[in-house]
Amino acid sequence: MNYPVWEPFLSNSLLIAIVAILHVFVSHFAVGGGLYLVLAEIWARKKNDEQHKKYLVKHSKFFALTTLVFGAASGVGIWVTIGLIHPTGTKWLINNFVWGWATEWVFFFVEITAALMYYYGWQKLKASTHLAIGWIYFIAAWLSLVIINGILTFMLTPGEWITTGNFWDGFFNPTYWPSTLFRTCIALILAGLFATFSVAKEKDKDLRARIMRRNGLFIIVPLVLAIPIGWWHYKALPDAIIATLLPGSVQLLALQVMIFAAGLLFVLTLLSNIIFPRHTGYVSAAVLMLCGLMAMGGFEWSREALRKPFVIYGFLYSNNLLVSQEANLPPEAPLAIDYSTGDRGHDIYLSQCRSCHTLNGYKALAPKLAGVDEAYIAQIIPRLHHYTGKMPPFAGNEEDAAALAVYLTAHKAEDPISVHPMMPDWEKAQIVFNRRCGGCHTMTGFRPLNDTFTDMSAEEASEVILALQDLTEEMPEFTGDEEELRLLILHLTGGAD
Amino acid sequence: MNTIFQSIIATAGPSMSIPGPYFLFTLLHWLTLTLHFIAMNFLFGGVMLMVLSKKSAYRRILFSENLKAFPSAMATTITLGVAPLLFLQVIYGKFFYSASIVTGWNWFWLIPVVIVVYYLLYAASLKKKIADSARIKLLIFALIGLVYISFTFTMLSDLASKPYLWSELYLSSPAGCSLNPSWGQTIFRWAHAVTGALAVAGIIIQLYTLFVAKVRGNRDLLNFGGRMFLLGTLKATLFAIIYLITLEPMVLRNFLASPGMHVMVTAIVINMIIAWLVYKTSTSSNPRPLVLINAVLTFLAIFLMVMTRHYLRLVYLEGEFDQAALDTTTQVGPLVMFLLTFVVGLIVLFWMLKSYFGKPKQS
Repeated sequence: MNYPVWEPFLSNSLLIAIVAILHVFVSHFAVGGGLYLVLAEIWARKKNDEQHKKYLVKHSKFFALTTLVFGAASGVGIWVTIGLIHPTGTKWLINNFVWGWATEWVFFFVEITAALMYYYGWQKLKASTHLAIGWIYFIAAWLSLVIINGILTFMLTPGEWITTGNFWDGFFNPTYWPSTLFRTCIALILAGLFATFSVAKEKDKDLRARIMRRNGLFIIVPLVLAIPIGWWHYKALPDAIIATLLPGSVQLLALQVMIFAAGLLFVLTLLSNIIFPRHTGYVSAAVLMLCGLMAMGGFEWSREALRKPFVIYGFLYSNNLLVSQEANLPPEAPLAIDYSTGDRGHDIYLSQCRSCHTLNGYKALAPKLAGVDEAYIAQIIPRLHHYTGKMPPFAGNEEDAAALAVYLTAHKAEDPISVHPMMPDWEKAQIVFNRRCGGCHTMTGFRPLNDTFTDMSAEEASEVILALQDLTEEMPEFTGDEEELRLLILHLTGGAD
Repeated sequence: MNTIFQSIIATAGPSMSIPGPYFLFTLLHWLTLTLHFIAMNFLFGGVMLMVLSKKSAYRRILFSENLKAFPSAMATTITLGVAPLLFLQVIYGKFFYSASIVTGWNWFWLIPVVIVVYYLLYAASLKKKIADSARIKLLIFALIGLVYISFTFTMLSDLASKPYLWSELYLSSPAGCSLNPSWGQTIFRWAHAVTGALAVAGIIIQLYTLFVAKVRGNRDLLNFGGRMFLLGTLKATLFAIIYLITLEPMVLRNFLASPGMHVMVTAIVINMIIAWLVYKTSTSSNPRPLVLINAVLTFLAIFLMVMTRHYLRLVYLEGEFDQAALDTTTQVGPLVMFLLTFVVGLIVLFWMLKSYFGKPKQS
């Protein structure tokens, strides 16, 4: 049995990104915020600082309101979303890690109960009991991170699990420990950021400055610690994953966003929390939060992008194909699709493309296919896995590829060259190169073509292009018209990338 | 014995096998779903009581006591809802996912609605002086949200038992905008759940009169809770009967021949005992033991209702699902980790609850 494929107007990747990034932003705060509260409470009680205690009561209210329901409901939201967009992957995770999730649920329940009691217990409980409940909260919250981190990192680096299928091999995978520490750092940073936001309206300027400085340390110390831990995390990634960090790739861009936002956060925190803590208000706090969100988003985005085209790296592709099934491709029988939209091409698009692409939205296919013909699309579909490392093999046979080509051709965007006939030749040539060769080659970087073509005459280049299908199995036949051939030769022999 | 041994040895590679015995997942699902229903019934029934009861003395009492518990009840309901959903997916994942995909957006919207409902409940429970009418308005919006959530859950549960409906629904909207077409039948199941929530809320109000200082021993409130229980149970029974009548004849016949029939009859008997005890509490000079027995019996009745749902699902899935055909490879270590955590978690919870509710105020 296979599953129907949900086709919302948003792309699946964007939908899960929105839900997941908002969730992790709050859920990591829920972990670090616990430690922040107990340490601050100890400090305030030791100094007998009533004003500070009053602030902490307010902060714990803000904490409870933010984390208890938004954190919990958006966590369920991730689950709902992955079940909708990738039921096969979700089922693999559930069947292999249900006891991990069940254990996490126990921690989560203890965490929620402790959070409620901590918040409502400021007046009701003895100081020692209140603090003990605070510690219980933090430990339970951190342990829930420790558990869920095993499942998250498993998806990127399943390690020995691929051969043993053993729970512990999957759980304590190659990136488990660096990721646990890295996420702990993130949790502490976010505790400092949210506390900066909540103290911004404090009227007592001395108190605000004191708390701002402490918050600054909560941000800066783990931010600095995160650098070697992040490097350790990076080095723990398999070489095959690191090799995909190519210039211009989404995963590299995501990492750059994370590093840039983290750097900015460091500088702004120094200024707002350490040097000018008296002048930091809501606006500065919001800017810091935004930097934190960007850094967090960059981290989660890079994790997702690095994993592509897999749901479980090296085991299950995003189009539901198991790596172990690759050897049997192409299959003799057409793809079995239990839930039909009434259009075979549309069904295959949903089954093979929709988990990452849309037609016209995020990672849109329509503009990518603009200007190419059906015969060419049918040829490249079975060769997709030769693309720049981020496409899974097509799981269907030739018939399926043909049906998908019909569907995609009907939905492709208009050719920009025919829309803008006055476009200069070099620009047209770049477009033709991108759509005919750009999926697998660049001129000077990845699988470069520069050396092959620069010294060729137009006639020689034409001969090579028209006989591409005879070079290797991976090369599709050139199906463009004479004008397209001329433009492609212009680009290839001109050497412009 | 051999089979059990085979089921606990390490697998030779990744597999989709069930990581524990079927009965264990079923039991855990029943238990955690019962707990979720109790929290949800307290919340849903409590909000309904507050909105529907006229400007009575009860409402004022409820305003002061019940209202402030709602945000916590919401957080507890969500948290307790995670576990049954998890255990359900292990056994019935393929049915659950398919049904949720064909009604995709309805299912997805639950999450923002849950978040909004929580903040509405929080706003309604604010200590600051807010007019009762404003609180009621907030509660009405929260109630609308709760109706949406409960209706969607009921429709999804029902649809997950009816694979024969999915293809056509999917064809009509791959974007997941379809509704369960058998809502005309399922609405009675939903109405049964809603009125059942009223009954459970009635029992919880009776418990207030034992444990909440401000209303301890309040006879009016005790009787009000009792009346709500009787009213809720009566309506819930009526809707359950209508729902059973509307079942497809073959399904009804098979259900009546299944263990579900015995479970349902036991639940009905228990409800009748509770009703009788509720009546007795109104005249008893010492209602405490009766109320406590009622609370325990209510838990049992909900547990049996959860079991009844399970057996009805099995009847619907006959031919589609065979528990004997499930491939099982018990993950012993992770299971032990969960059980140990569960026990330790319960001890910690007990200590926290005892500390919170049992100790005097800070000096």
